[in-house]
Amino acid sequence: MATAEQFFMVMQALQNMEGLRADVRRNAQAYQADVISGRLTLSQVQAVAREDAVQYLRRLKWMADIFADLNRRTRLIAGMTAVGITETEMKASHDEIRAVAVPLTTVTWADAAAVTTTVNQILAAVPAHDRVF
Amino acid sequence: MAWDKGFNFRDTSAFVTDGADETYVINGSNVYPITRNGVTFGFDVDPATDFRDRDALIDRRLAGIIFTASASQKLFRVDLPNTGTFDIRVANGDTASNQNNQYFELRDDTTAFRTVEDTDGVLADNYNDATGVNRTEANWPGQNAAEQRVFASTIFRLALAKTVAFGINHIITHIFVSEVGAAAGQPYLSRFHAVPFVPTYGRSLN
Repeated sequence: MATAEQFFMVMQALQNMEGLRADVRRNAQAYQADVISGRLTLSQVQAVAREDAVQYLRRLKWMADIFADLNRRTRLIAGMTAVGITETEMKASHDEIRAVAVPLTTVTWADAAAVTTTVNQILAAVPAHDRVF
Repeated sequence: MAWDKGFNFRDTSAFVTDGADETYVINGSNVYPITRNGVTFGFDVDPATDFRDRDALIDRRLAGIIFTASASQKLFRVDLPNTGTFDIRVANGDTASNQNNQYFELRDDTTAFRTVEDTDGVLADNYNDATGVNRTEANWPGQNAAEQRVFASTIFRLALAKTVAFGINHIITHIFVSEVGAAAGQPYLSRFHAVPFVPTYGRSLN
């Protein structure tokens, strides 16, 4: 059984990670849509994607910071254990997103087809989690 | 590259098309942290159903609103890329309805640097800008004034409504945050490469 504070730590971690997962996927689809619709030029989409990636890494670092802080780590692990989430599962989610975020910080797209290729890679590498609302 | 980020508040994303340096803040996608258009932002508490699409035929930045009731203060947060000087622009009004007393604060993290307390409200098709000056819908796009701030923190917040009773509903239509320059006395750090500029005295720049 977890305390309210331990459970709140889990909620914050999940809000960040699950929200980030949704952001990564939605933004990727937007890059493609914006190029196709002409709302943004290729260079504008590329700049936005790079900026997004920097933000993704920043949010992933929040997780690393929790694990680097003994008290917060203890609270998070206790809360996760109580609800049945393993540290391995949390780390896998982190690594999944990081694997697409790092190359995206320096992505270079020559044309719309290149955007589509990257978007498809992102959507495959960061699968959607079931969202009810 | 300039760091310019606009936020258009409305009910649904497809209602209008945002400008290149703008994104939407809509029902169901508004609680911090959200990352979109290269910036992380969001409300502290979901305004839930208090979003409206108003008029898709006017300036896209004024096309919709969110509101919060008197005494139900909401905080909208934008994470800045660094400390330094930023211009803040605001549209506080509603194309569809007269709105009673209006109140918002612009904050550098927790420090308010501009408070707009409008005791006579805004008529329909009118908007207070970031400095609290009323602009008509026709004039706001070209005449709204920015509030400039040298941010000591990397968190901009707009507090919408007082924490105590004042008026009825408090409206936010548009926010624009634009970096003017890096903090004085500090090296400019690229957002992509956190390495300060190193002089290349006597070296060839091939």
